[in-house]
This record gives sequence, C-alpha cells and structure tokens, in this order.
Amino acid sequence: MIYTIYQLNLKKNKFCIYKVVRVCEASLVLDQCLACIWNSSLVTTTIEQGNPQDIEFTCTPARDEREHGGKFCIYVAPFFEEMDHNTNFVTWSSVA
Amino acid sequence: MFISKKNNFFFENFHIISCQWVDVSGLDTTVRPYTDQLTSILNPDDFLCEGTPIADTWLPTNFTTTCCPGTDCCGDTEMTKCCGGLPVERPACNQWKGYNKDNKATVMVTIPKDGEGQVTANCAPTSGNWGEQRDCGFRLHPKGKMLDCGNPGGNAVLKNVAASTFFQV
Repeated sequence: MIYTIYQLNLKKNKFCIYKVVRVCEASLVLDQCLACIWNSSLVTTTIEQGNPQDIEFTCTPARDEREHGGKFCIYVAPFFEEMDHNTNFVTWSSVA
Repeated sequence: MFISKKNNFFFENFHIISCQWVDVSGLDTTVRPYTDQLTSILNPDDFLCEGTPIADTWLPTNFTTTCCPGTDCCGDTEMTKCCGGLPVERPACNQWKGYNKDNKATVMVTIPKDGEGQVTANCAPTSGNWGEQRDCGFRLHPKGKMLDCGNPGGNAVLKNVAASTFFQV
C-alpha cells in the first residue's frame, strides 16, 4: 500500500489535535439522547487542542406539551476519522 | 434473506416517502441493540397494475375513503369537507403470471442502543470521512448525556471546551 506523506503523518500521530463536538437534542419522553446528523444538530464545531473555547448553541426547544425541551447531549469525534476516538479527550467546565 | 429489485427499491427509498415509518419506541434498547426482521409487502391490494391494464374498467374494493382534515401528515389536501366513506375502486388488470412472487421481502434490521444510530456508527473504511459535517464516527460523550441547558429555545453556552490527548479527572 502506498501512503502519502500526509497520511503517514496521520498514522504516526494517532492523537488528533482537532476534535469535532456536536450538540444534539435529547428527548424527555424517550429519556435518551438523539444522535443527530449535522443538519439537525444544535451546533457542530471543531476545537483545537490548546485552544479552549466556548460553544454557543440554541437550547433544545419545546416540541409539544410532553417534549418541553431543555435537555441536550454531546457527541464527539476526531476531526479525522482515522484518529483516536477516545471521547474523554474532550472536556468542558460548565453549561451556562 | 430475499430482496427483489422492487423491494430493494422500497427499502432504499423508505426514508424519502412521506408517512413511511415504523414506530420502534416500544422496543427496549436501553442496554443493548435490538435486531429483528423487517418485512415489506408491495402492492398487497393490487392497486398497481403489474401486467396489462384493461382500459376504462374499474373494479370495486373493500376500501372507502377516509375523512380528509387537510392538516395531518397523511391527509394533506385542499379539500376542506369530510370525504369519508366513499367507495374506492382500482383499475382492472390482466396480471402477469407470478407477478407478486417478488413483492414480499424481509431484511434483518438492528435498532441501535439508546443514544446511538447512524451518526455513532463507524464511517466507511475509506478515506474522506473528515470534518465536522460528516454523519458517522461520532461517540456519545459519557459525561454528555441528558444535560440541562435551562432555557428551551434560548441561548446556551458550553463553557471552556477543550481538547486534550490525556484524561482529565
């Protein structure tokens, strides 16, 4: 198999410095997170190691009298699929 | 498993045909995924002519029209009056021999565990699944379940989000 220099760098450094953080709605009725696609996420953004940032998003809206919103879930992925998938590599301090 | 071309088309396009869905919310997927058969039968009442149509000939059926409120998912119509109870006919047809032999199909379907789905499945083993707009390869953060953002529909901020290559306790 032939690799480009870029791909070799990816394979050597399994710990990607870029992580993708996706915020999805959660269902109160189902009492579970809704794994959302990009188009329906509350927000999806890329963060860089060593550069913490605040992520602004719209809090899950009310859908009906049972789904009155206010809950969300966080999904994480390495920017490059080939990189390490450990979700614990992403942290945050609080929700405001 | 048996999938005809017709049923393959159905399964592949299931998601783009409005009102075609299966309620799986009653299945217990809290601990593990749930796998079962999904069966479809195409044209069960022969409304589609799988053969040669007989011109200007209509056959009675046991179906009647339903009320058309004009608002619900399957009843979108410009009609404003109730139209329920009228007989429904289907076109007469000289059906091909064995026309319905490939109208039934069954596939095994796995409903993922709670909080998972297409987005948390591994991406296809090819390069190019990069970036934040991809819809595969995500993982639910163990500390990111059912968090409270306080003000439904309002602004919220996830503070001080950081990426590292080591665990933070």
